[in-house]
Amino acid sequence: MKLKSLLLFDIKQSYGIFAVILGFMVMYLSVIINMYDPNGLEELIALAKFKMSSDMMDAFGFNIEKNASLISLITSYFYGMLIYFILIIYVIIVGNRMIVEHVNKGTMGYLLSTPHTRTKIASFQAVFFIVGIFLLLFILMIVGIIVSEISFPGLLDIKAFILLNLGMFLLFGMFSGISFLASCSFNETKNALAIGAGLPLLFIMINILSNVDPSLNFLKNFTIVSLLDTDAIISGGSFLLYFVIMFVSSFTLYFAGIKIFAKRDLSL
Amino acid sequence: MIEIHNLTKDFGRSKGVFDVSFNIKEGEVFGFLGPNGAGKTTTIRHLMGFLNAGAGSCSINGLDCRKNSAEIMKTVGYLPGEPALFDSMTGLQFFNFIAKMRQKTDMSLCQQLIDRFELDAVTKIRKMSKGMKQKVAIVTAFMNNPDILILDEPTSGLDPLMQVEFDKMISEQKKLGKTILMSSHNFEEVEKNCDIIGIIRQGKMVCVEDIHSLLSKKKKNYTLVFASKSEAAKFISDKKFEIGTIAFPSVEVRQIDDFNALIRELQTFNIIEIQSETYTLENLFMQYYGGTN
Repeated sequence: MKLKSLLLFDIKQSYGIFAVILGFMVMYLSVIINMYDPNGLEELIALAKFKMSSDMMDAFGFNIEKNASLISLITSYFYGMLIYFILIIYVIIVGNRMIVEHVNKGTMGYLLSTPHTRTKIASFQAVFFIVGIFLLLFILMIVGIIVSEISFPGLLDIKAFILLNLGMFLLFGMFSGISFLASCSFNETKNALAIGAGLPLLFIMINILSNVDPSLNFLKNFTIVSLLDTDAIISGGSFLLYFVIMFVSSFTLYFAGIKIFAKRDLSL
Repeated sequence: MIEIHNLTKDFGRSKGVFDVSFNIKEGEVFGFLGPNGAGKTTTIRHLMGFLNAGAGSCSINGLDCRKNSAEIMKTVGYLPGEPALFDSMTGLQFFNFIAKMRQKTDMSLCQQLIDRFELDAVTKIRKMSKGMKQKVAIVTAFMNNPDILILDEPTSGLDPLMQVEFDKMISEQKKLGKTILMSSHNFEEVEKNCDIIGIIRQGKMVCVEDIHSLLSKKKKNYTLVFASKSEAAKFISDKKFEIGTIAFPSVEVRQIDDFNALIRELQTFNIIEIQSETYTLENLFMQYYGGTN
């Protein structure tokens, strides 16, 4: 591979954050799966209510029936919100490193003084970024399935769980697409972060607010998080159109980032 | 080989480059002079394909610098004005990284350069001094034996010994027929190494000329030391030459284009000494920059 040394640099730079994020996600998911009780979730709900107000529980997406299934528990307690805050850290940090940090520091000057086009370098970084996110979710999914099968054999709706992870990957395709587009568009890290971190976090915050109170429910229309309809995925409803929209949006964001980077003036 | 035609890039507030043109032929060494902020680095950034020309064009080997930069980089060695190295690497790791990116993995020349510049290449770049980093940048620019060298202030931060070593290397490269563009603030270095100089001021080229003819055709100044004050006074009262500073019995004559005429005139005088003011590039430079900036 022509850019093998860049790949090795990227890996060396980001394996630490990758391991930490993966560790947090695996730990939380395992704990939450083991909180499940096939005989009813009264104890868990009571404990949660004891710890936090019902508003907070709604905000965090911890709204669950007493006789909910394992997949409902996982969706509500982990894929409802916690995962956003963990995985977005990876997106923000690594997205920033992909392009704008090299431009801001000036090291991009050295990358571009080698016989590789800007399009090639940006595309390579884009693939590295998205593959990293894919691997995080893929490993998380495998661990989730294994932990469930060990603790509660046969109780996890594996098909729904896989679709849930695929949906999460597509949603983070958009988040990372925004981050990557920002990374490609600015000369300075702080400007890229304002958009690349600010916008995804804003979407996540809007999603939380929209859950707090029925009167704020209209806010759902202003966040891309709504495109991931977890209820539809669990209950076998229609989600395919949303998946297609998320895929096309992600692709467009990355593509636009690469195009902009290939065309613009660089402060090197 | 390197051609710049009417290159214009306006950054506003009269910053940028305006209508810059010059050519560098194969095997020529071009010295790019100008005060800080005059547009040297901006011109070089266009050659490297980092910037889109506002108007005009620049090409290397007939290829457009912006559109075909990847192709051009196969034959170019680049030394940035402020080298931004991968500071988490050691010098050696960085050389290997760049060599692999260039797909030229013969490191024998690299090792020679490391030895030549006495570089401690196993230190992390982050921990290196400015001069050490500059050496890393120099090795990086030269290590793949490129045909064209684009060097932005290559000797800044180097100690005098290493500057001498660098000058030697440039003259070797010149003999090998390399095409070199180097910007510099060091007149001696440019005078020693370059065939052609271009002077840029406030984004505009004020002079692109062969350095030797430029220096030789310039009018010169001499200081004459007369045997007595009266001789000197007589010489002055003849008013045949432009007189500069007078410090009896020394008299400065200026703007002499016909030295023989001066000699003939002086035959009738009793002269103790003639001092010629050597005309350096520095004088020339100051002449172009004298007055308002």
